Amino acid sequence: MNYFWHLLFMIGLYVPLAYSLNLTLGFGGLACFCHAAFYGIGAYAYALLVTTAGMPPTAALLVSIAITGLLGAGIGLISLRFRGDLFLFVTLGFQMIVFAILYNWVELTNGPYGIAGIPRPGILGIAFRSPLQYALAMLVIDVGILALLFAVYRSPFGTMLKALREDEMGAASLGINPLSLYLQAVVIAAAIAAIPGACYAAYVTYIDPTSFTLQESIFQVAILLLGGAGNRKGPAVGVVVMLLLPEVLRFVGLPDAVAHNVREIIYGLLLAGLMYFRPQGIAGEYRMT
Amino acid sequence: MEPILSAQGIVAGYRERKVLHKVSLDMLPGESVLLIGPNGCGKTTLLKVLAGVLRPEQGRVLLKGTDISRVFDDRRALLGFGYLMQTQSIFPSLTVDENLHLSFWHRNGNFKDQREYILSAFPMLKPMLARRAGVLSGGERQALAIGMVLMRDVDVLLLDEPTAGLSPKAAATILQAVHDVKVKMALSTVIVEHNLRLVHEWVSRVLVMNQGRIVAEERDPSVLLDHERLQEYYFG
Repeated sequence: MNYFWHLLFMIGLYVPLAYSLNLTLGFGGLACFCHAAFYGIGAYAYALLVTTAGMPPTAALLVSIAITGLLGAGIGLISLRFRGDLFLFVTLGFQMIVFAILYNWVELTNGPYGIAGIPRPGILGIAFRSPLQYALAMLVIDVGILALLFAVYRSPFGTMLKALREDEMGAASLGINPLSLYLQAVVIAAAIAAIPGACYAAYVTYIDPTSFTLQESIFQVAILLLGGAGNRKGPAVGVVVMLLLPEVLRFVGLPDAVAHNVREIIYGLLLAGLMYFRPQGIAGEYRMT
Repeated sequence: MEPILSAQGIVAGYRERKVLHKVSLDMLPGESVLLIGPNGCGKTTLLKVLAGVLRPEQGRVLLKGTDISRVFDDRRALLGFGYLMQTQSIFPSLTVDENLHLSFWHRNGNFKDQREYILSAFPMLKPMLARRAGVLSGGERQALAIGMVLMRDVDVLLLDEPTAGLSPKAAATILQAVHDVKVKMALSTVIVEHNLRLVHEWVSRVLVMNQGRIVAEERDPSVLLDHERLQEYYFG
């Protein structure tokens, strides 16, 4: 049963990642390839604050959100000087820079050895131990995040982002400031990505840079490509399919020696096929170009 | 009377290619200025400079005497510029209502009242409010694009070929609606339009452009019906 709750926790973890990325990529049309960097910054900030600074988990979570949002603003200010493919490459560059920092700044992050012994959070003095407890806590957090993000999606801000996605010059001619709006979207997305980062650190109690690689960023973008972006359904569909598909493939009886590689191939084929037959994703509204 | 909009010695273009050469114009409040000229003479470029979409290399743009040359297009929109681009600036994935809402958010007042006013000017949009703008016909799209511009507090309306691609009937409907709104809201307009027969009765001054310069000014719009004179302006 723990396996089931673990899966549920992981789905819960990726839900805010996908929905926050949906704000920049789906609503804003910005192909942001450094979302795993924000996720990682959140995880490391939380881990360092609770281990080194001895901060209580809730305070550490709030501070890690603020730190990630601030770094998101810095990254956004630079990368938003570009659009389209160039924006993609600049964010990809930031993803690699953040990974390099996590990997090499040993004095701060402990480098490739990672940070171990991250205390488990709890409620009323009872620490979370089982995947069920974590899954339930994640569910509560997700409800809060989704309520916030759905309000943002529905707000004038969300509509303006969609307008920018479709015609930036046309939107500017209506008085919409593209840089300001995009920057706000990047900061919100980054700050929200810090929450699953902190939750992940609290769940596994050990983090290292390999969880926050470029591959992870591509995986998160792939969730939106597969599920669909620019609406409320797509990210959920993407998370469920992308996280459960490998688990389903575990039970098809592939030989252990090739199972991992075959799963990756099936994954890749599915994505390529979907881009051909349904480029806006299974339940998407926005077609990434 | 002080001009509401002035352009002084505008030199502008796209990288190495200069399109406008020392273009100047003054527009009085309530005036309707029509820009005409052969294709590529700089009419659209001049509108872009006035709207702030394109930065001039030389010259100044003044709104009510204030130099706004360094003000970006989004800020100019808030200062009272309404700019209808040559390409219809609507947002296809948003509903007609959301499109109208987009331009209203920076404005004070009641959205529903203003929307009602725009819908009375462009009644073809009324049954389409909940539909996505992407499914509208050409005429409806253009009506929406103009309606969006007029949802805001606009003093100066810059219209770049508002009837391009429309049937004669739709073009007449759109131009009539624009004229009615212009009169009611006391707007000053600069319009680029090839449909001279339709537009001539609503303009107060005609500026003829050729090769990036204003080569003639006519205060009698009936010149627009004089083909020989126009040919002389266009082809020298």
